[in-house]
Amino acid sequence: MYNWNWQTIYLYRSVFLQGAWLTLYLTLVVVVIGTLLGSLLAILKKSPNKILAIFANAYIEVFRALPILVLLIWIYYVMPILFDWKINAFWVAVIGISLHLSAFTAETIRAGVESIPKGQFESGHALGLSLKQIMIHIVLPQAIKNMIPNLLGLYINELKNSSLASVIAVDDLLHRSNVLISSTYRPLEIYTTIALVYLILIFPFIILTRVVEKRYFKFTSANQI
Amino acid sequence: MLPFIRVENLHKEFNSLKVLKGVSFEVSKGEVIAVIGPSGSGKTTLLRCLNGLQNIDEGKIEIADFTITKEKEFFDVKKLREKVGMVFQQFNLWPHKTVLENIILAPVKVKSHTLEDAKIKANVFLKRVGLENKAHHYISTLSGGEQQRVAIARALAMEPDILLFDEITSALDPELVGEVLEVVEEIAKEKNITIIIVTHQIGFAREVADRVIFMDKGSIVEIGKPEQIFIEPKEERTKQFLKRILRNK
Repeated sequence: MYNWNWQTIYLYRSVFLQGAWLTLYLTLVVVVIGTLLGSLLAILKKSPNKILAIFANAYIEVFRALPILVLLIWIYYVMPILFDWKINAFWVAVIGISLHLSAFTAETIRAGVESIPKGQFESGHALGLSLKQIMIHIVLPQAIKNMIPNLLGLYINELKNSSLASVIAVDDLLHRSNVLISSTYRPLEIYTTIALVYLILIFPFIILTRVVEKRYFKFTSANQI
Repeated sequence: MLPFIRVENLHKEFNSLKVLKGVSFEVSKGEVIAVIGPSGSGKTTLLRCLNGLQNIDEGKIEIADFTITKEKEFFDVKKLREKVGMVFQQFNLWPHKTVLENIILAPVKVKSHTLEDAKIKANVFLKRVGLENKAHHYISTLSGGEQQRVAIARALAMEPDILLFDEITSALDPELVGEVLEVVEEIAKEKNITIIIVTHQIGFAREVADRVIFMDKGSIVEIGKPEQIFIEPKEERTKQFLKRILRNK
């Protein structure tokens, strides 16, 4: 019978707290950068300028296809050799995961906008509104409501994917725990604890979306009628 | 009187399917025109060309001081649409906004009315369509007939010179058709807005229209006063169409 020893966890609680904080911080930075970049890509993809549209398409396909782990290792080890450019591991993780998230966000935004029926645009045009006004006042509010569950899914995924940053020695939850295991020899307690911490980290995201949906998106979008 | 709308040799095709094959007609200011014809005859496309929702392949449209040709850079389509309102078959109201918000968006954003002015006016138009007590309701809580009346109020709120009605009762349950047609009839009677109505409601066309256009296969077959078109049509195709449509009643 394995002898559980939860004392260790309590003793090293600050390791988990700091790790959790870094994981959360990394995820938030990635969510902000990835969403902004993804929105830009979604716009570029619809651009009348062929070159921009092709660039956006290629970008999206490449970064949807590449595994994050490969991306992180490549940036971390190859960039310094190719360009003599050594950045710290945290920002490598931010760049790698943001590239990944932006590609998926772009597709989610595109699908969200395309889910809004053509008639919603047309009645705007018929009243003399510009495309920009139609997007801001009519299409995006409805499209964003449709996107929220998918975007949340993407964000939660990236929170989990941030654990991959531990392979390039970013001091996130998983990396700190691995270091702790090598000094305390308590892998079962520690892995159980970090599983719980990930759950605790993800839970507020779910609550937050529910609240936002209830508070700001009470209406039904045109494609749901 | 000078024609207010003049359509000359209008052609439109979609992927080599010819939808309009040289349509020409004129409309005077304040006239009410009903466009009838079998589905696929190009009625809706004609309407959509008149407010620039569809670009044209050949010919010329002069409408409310604007000239539409296939070189679209010669006119400002947004300015045109301020003058030419449209009401759609599927209402196309914005479900994330209340009735009032649907009505005031364009006056505020396009015509730069203040929010206060827009609201006051919106309530006037809501009263005209008999929905003043629904101002703060969301669209999904309204019946089809009410939704279409809101759509009409929304178009009226831009104070257009011309209104285009595109089969506005086709998506409605039969018992809701009357309330919408009544509103259109009221607007038609006032004679300060020029109206083109695409409709399958023959009885309604006969009642409100000054002239009726019968279209088939992308061309105008016959134009005339309602009593002439409906009682003694000149063309064989008009006769056949009316016979078919009246038998179904």
